[in-house]
Amino acid sequence: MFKSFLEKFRERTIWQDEAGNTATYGDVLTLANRLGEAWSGRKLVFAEVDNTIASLSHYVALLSAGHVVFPYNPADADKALALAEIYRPNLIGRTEDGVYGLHIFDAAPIALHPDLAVLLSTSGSTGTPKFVKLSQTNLISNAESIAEYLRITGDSIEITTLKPSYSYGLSIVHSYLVSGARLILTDRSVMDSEFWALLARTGAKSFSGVPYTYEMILSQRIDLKDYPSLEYLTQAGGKLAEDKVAVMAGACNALGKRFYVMYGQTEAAPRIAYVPPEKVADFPTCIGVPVPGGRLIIRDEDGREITEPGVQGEIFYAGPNVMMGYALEPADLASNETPNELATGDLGAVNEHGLYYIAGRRSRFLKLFGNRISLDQIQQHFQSREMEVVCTGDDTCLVAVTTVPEDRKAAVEQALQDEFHIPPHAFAVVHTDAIPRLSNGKYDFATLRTFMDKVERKGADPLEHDLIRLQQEPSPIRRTVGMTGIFLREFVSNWLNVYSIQDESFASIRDIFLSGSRSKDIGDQTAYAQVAGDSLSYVQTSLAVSEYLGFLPDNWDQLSVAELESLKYDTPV
Amino acid sequence: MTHLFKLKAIDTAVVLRAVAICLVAFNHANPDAPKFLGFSLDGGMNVLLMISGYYFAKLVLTAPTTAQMRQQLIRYGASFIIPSFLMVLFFFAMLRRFDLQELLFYKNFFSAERVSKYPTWYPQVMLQILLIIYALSFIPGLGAIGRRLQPYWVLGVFAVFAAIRLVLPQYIDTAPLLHHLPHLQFWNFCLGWCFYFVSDPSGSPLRARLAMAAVALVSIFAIFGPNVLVAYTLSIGSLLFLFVKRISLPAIAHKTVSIVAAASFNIFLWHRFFYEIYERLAHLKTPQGGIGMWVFGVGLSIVVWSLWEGLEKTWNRIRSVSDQVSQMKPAAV
Repeated sequence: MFKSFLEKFRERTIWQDEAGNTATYGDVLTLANRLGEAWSGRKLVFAEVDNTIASLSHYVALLSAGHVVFPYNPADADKALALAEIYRPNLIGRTEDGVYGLHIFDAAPIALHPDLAVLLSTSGSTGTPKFVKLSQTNLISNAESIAEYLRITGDSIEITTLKPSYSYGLSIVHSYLVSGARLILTDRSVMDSEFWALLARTGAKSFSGVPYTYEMILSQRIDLKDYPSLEYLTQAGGKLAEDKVAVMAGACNALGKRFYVMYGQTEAAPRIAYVPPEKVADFPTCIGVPVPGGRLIIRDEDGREITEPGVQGEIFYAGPNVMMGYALEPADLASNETPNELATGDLGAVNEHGLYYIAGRRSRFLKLFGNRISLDQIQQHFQSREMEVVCTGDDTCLVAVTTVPEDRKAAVEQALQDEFHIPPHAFAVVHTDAIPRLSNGKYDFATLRTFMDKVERKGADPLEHDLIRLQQEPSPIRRTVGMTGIFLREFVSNWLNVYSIQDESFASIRDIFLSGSRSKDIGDQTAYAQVAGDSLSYVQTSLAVSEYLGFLPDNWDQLSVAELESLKYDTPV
Repeated sequence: MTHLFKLKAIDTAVVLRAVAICLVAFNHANPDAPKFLGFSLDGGMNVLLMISGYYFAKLVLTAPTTAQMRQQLIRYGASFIIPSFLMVLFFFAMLRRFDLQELLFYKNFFSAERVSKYPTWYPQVMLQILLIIYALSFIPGLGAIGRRLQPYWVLGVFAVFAAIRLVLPQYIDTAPLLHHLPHLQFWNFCLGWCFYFVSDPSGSPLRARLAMAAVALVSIFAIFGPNVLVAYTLSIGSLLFLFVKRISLPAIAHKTVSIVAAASFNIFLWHRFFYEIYERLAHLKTPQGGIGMWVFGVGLSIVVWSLWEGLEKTWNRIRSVSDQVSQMKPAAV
């Protein structure tokens, strides 16, 4: 089906890279035909896809030739190869010596469902690798819906800001493909002045961004007025802060540009809803209306549909773009388990203007810094250690409600950092005497969500924020200058800390041990005597422990991290 | 202001370390002190050597296996040998002089002279002691015997080396070398081992401590005689170490002592260098620098320490946050 678009727009340009190289729809069609001849039958292909003409042409050609493709970011090649060991794809597409090619991985035939077209890995750290199965119908219907509401035509030109291996980036490729439009391919970030120069040079009419993209645009005070070719901008991939949505929408409205806030899930290929640009400024917290051809349904606990505005329930989505189910093992590639409705896992309602909004997360996943965090997995982790911890939160903060005593909270915090890689400012651990439950014994998540109001949201660590920003900076000179500035700022702060002129920065006993030894391998049961280096660091560590606890216990160096933490609220006898 | 004088407890070992390094620095700033004080303030290095021995026993000697002991010993040694070595190179470069014996840390066997402007004999002697212990650890069964016989084994070693220190200089004149030789200093280091084992709570503390105090006092006065202050400094330090676990100090003194103790090794390495600068700045005609030189040298050594600490903390923090950042992935749905 994708092939029909290649035939229809044969003469048009589909890709243009930074150097000005281009490829037409016809070129990709030729490639698709060649691949069809070279590889008979449908193949499972793991294909590196990035913002290059070769890799994207291969991706589209493979799809058009009827193969099943798992597009992955070249930076994640190790993970993809680990998955390849499980799924045994027939072919792997990758660039070798500067040339993109397909290489045989396993010639054995694989049972593939006839409708299956694309596999997308669910992002993040939830443990078991899992694919979302999408058909050509899923992809094309969603692409056409997007093209309709974004008003993409054959004259549209979008400049890339996202990796095409992510579902958001991929959906842009698809919606431009079905419209006969053109993509300007670049990996440059909006922080890079070259990105803006390229946009101006190529006359790009749109770009898409995740919240971070717009945070950077606002913090860099980039004036969209300087880019008259821009017609619209889209935002998805997480929640952009309300005030920033309002500022972006206001700026775009003033310049006659359209600013779309969108909502989606990989399982819906991925777009589910969007806010019409003329309403974004007035309703910056909304996810808007369903995409053309789709339907949003709010259901209560018993599955009954809620139609009354303002009454919350779980958001479900129905439409031709809802996935064919998940693949947890190779055998799942042969089946189709398309649900009637997709349970989004979000709690929300529709307002009196017919716009949907999200009130919280019903599902057991959060997306913190782009990592999908399974709340159930966290709970199970603690359960297996006989600690009662129930998690809730939103995409900015995970709240772990626990019956673990105050003085053992540090162990929970440590596990959230070490096992789940959640930065300290992105979670809060709250103690309660008993976890609220419903009459049927299940956790009362509505009450649990009220704990979110009780926690003090810690601001992001400025160092973390700056390092993320710096990571996006393509210019090595600016990166070096930025890094030097950060280093000097941190150095002055740490230098003053040495004299305790500022508050000591140790957040835990583990922090102190890490600072006072050469070992990085410090767990709950580690005692300082096991990792101590010399008498000097011993003295410094003893002083820090004394400062942290308010006293120095006898034989403190023989006590484990957990034992010392438990003394935090004790007073010396 | 009252919080500045609120009493806070601090480990006696920390206070002793701070006082000892201040005494060492004071002596070097005031070589003529005996003339105006009537006595010299010797003994700081002996106290430091005893404290080093204590922590060596605590962190290295008591490792559960010989392999772990060797590992800890290397870590312990590296912590002071590497900076000491770098300081030697620094002074060679500064003064454009070179001495192979000093560079290889065995000059103490040949001369008390040195190029480096810090007491190099201490890392030299310590390195030699550690090398001998490291070599001994390869004798099959010695580690196991040692672990089984503690603390008697340690006391025996102490007695042998105290006797060597007492007797040997009478036959071999090591005074020109200031007795800065491993076999003559080992008893002082081993004194710290003994203190560790008698203060082990699994033993019988008071009786054992009293016995150890008696052994220590007899040995110290036998070796030094009653007429030098070093005997009194080390004796008082030993008694405090054995019988007073914590000392309460006003918060401001607590903070000062903590900083000086934490910076002690840097003071040891740097104070003489800053004395040289002070001499030039103050146009001193004699090496007698007085309190001013002492404060200048110790103060700037503390600044060097804090700068290094600040750099190390900054490096560690940026590295740790960078690791965290690199584990994050961009969201894109």
